[in-house]
Amino acid sequence: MKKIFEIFLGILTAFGGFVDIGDLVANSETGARFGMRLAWVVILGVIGIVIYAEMSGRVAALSKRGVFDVVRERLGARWALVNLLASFFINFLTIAAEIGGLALVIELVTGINYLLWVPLLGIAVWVVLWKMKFSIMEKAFGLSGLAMIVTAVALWRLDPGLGNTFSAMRHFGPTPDETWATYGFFAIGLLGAAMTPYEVFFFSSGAVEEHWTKEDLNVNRANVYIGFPLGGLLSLAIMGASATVFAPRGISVSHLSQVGIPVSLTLGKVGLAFLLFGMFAAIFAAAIETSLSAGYTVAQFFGWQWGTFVRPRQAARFHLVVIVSMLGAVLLALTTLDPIKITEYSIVLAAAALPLTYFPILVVANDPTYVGEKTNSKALNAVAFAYLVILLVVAVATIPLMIITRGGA
Amino acid sequence: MRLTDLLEARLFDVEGVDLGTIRDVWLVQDGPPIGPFGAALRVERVVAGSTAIGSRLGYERASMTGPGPLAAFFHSRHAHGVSATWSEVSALEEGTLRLRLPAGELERPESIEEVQGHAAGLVISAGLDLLDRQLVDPEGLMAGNVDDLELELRDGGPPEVVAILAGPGALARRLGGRLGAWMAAAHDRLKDPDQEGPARISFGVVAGIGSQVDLTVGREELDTFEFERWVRDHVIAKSPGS
Repeated sequence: MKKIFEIFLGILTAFGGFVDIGDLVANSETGARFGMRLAWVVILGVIGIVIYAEMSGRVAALSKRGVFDVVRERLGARWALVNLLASFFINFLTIAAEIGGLALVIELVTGINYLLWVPLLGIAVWVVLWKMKFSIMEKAFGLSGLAMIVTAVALWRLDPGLGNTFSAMRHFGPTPDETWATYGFFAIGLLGAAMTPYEVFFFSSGAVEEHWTKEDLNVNRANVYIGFPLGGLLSLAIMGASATVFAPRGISVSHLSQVGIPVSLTLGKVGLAFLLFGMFAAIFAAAIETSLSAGYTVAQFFGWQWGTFVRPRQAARFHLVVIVSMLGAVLLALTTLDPIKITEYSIVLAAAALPLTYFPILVVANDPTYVGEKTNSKALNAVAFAYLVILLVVAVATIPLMIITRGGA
Repeated sequence: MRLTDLLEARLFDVEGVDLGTIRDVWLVQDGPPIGPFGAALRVERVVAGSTAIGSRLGYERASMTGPGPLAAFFHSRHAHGVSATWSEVSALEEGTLRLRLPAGELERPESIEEVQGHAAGLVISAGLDLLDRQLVDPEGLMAGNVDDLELELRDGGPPEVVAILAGPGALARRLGGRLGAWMAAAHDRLKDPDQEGPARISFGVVAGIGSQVDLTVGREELDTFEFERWVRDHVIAKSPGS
């Protein structure tokens, strides 16, 4: 019974914590510009993160190795360093984007400029990850993130039966007033938002933090096979709401407040309050996850003690990296660079950096010295290998598309 | 000598044919006993050629069967690279290793398991099983990575693994280039003046090699702990609730 409850709780946590600032921005923007014509990318991205997160969780549970350990072990010092520099930079942008996003949510509620909230929220995130027990903070924020389900309710109210929204999914390719280049660019952004590298860094290290063993493999599977797709559905609901309200009117989404409009139109102030609460919780969770991931990646590359399962003084360099990264991210957010722009760049670059992280995960998930008998099935390998090929194409296409479309302008 | 000296060397046969860069070194545990680890590891084979990277990825093991395309490629005969036993090596000079026979006369084992079949002790791949692995102390605390190995040349016999080299002093050479030089200089300046070269952990204290390398000594007794201790005492311990 306790086990079932734990699995159920894990699913809800994974569900509520799936959406972060990147998903909010990418899905709202593309919904407004392309309707549901890019919805298939969300599905593609969710399947990708599901299979790679499952592998990384399994490897971590069975061998105690986080993803960046595995990156270093299989790519060697030089290529692992290339990956570390790229992943750390993207993760750093993501921390700034999450903290900026949190500040924007508070601005929406209080009316006081977000810049004032940035340092305060930076401190709040740090205090939580410094003091709170890992499993409690993960569950508290993940579960609160479930309040964002109001978006799905709003979409239902806007389009009962969802016939109009989902019939638009059948159109492949850009709308008449958009080009294939912007279509491709936003597709990469959606893919990067769904599959950001920090998710596997955090998920695998979290498995070690929570002392997962062979007995927890069903928790791992339930989290990723049920929780993540539910989170993906929420992403699609955000896109759908945006597509229903903004796309027909030719309004583009450039501010976080617009994410709330479909909900406040249909469900009023109470709905909006739920949404903002859920957004705050989910982005807060993501801010913690990205900040910890900065420490996880660097510490695992160098072999330092990491994690919140030991006292901070036992993992001194890990905590130093976390603190310095957060400080830098707060300063970046304070430069008045638009948090939405930072988010856009972080998700697009994330897609480009993925192959160097996913390749070693795939190899190790096949290695009996790490996972014993629990190596990948042939079917899983076939799908995972196909994803690796897709991601390589995406990695090559990202920078040219970024230049051609001038960052999706 | 360090493992990296071997891994960056090029292999030539007796006729001067270039057989490519050495990508991996296979070790056999049949040397004289050192500490709790038991018999020391000695160099058994060097593996060279561009496809020998498969050895570093684990595909020299027959048990590594997925994902299909990668396994099929690395298990195919021509992708095994060239491998030579230490007794077939005639000279080791700066950056090159020369064989005493032509490449055509080298035998080509199908897998690391096949080599294990004729060996007197456990056969492991230094690049795969040791290099870049996590060091863990008896309390389960992480104590650095295996950044390099120190090898000692024995008269007539193959080199023996005597120590693990860890920390920036050893990592610098692995990274190479300007960044490596910068890291080495920074390490020289900041390290304990009594310590010579990179932090060194005698291989005798290795308790076991698996998905991590277990040690029989606590991490605080190792030279790799210097910087961690400094950060702990000067930064982290000053924050409330650490």
